[in-house]
Amino acid sequence: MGEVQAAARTLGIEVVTLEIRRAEDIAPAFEALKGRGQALYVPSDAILFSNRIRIITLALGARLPMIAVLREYVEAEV
Amino acid sequence: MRRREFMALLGGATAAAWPLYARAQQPSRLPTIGLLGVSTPSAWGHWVAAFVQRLRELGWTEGRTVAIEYRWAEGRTERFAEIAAEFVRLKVDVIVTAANAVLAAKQATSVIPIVFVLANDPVSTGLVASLARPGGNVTGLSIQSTDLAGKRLELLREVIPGLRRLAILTNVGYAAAMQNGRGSGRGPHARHRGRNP
Repeated sequence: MGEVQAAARTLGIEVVTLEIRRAEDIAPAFEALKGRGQALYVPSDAILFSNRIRIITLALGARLPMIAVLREYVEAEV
Repeated sequence: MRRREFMALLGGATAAAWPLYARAQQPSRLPTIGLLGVSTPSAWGHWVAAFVQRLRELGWTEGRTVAIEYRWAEGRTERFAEIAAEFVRLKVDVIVTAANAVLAAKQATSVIPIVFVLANDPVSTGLVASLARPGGNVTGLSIQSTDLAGKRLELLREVIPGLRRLAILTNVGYAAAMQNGRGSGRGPHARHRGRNP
């Protein structure tokens, strides 16, 4: 994730990292994010990818703009 | 078509068909692909179907000219090494996998060819020596996840002009696995990005 952080620093954007280890951590991570981020970056990762529907649903619910590495996130039907 | 071109074409076609023919003569053991699925069959279903279909188009029909051993880690990273070790015991001819399971496969064998479906940054994570010359027994597709990080942020900033605070969702288990992978002769400072000319 160093690359995203470095790029953010260059653009003057502060970064909040939401750490997860398993699928069950994703919903609490979104809870913890409330009011702390204006947008969400989802890097390429097998666990995140397998849970893309869950992630998109949570992002939509929180009205949080989100960008991901793979187009399947955009194409997923929620 | 000139005669020389035609002969070259014919020669190429014969050469391409030969290994298939040779293998088809040995029904006792089909060439075997070990498919190490990171996730679940349902999550990977359409990709596996596309893989099997393309193999068939290339003359490798599952169950007839090629065998595929499917193993699914179902997102449990501790399963990667177990499955990779099983493939080595089974003496599969090639291992096909993705994401952080590639590292487990690489640690399990330096002999069996490993093809990864996609990797975020195969060079800096030590999977390959370089994109131009991967070396070793590992190759595959890089999605250049890191190279394009800046572009994605620029896009986001176009959507949200006042973007000051960005959240990143991170699988810390994956990050740790990748850090460990760098241990073999590549310190964190030896990190090298970008493509070779």
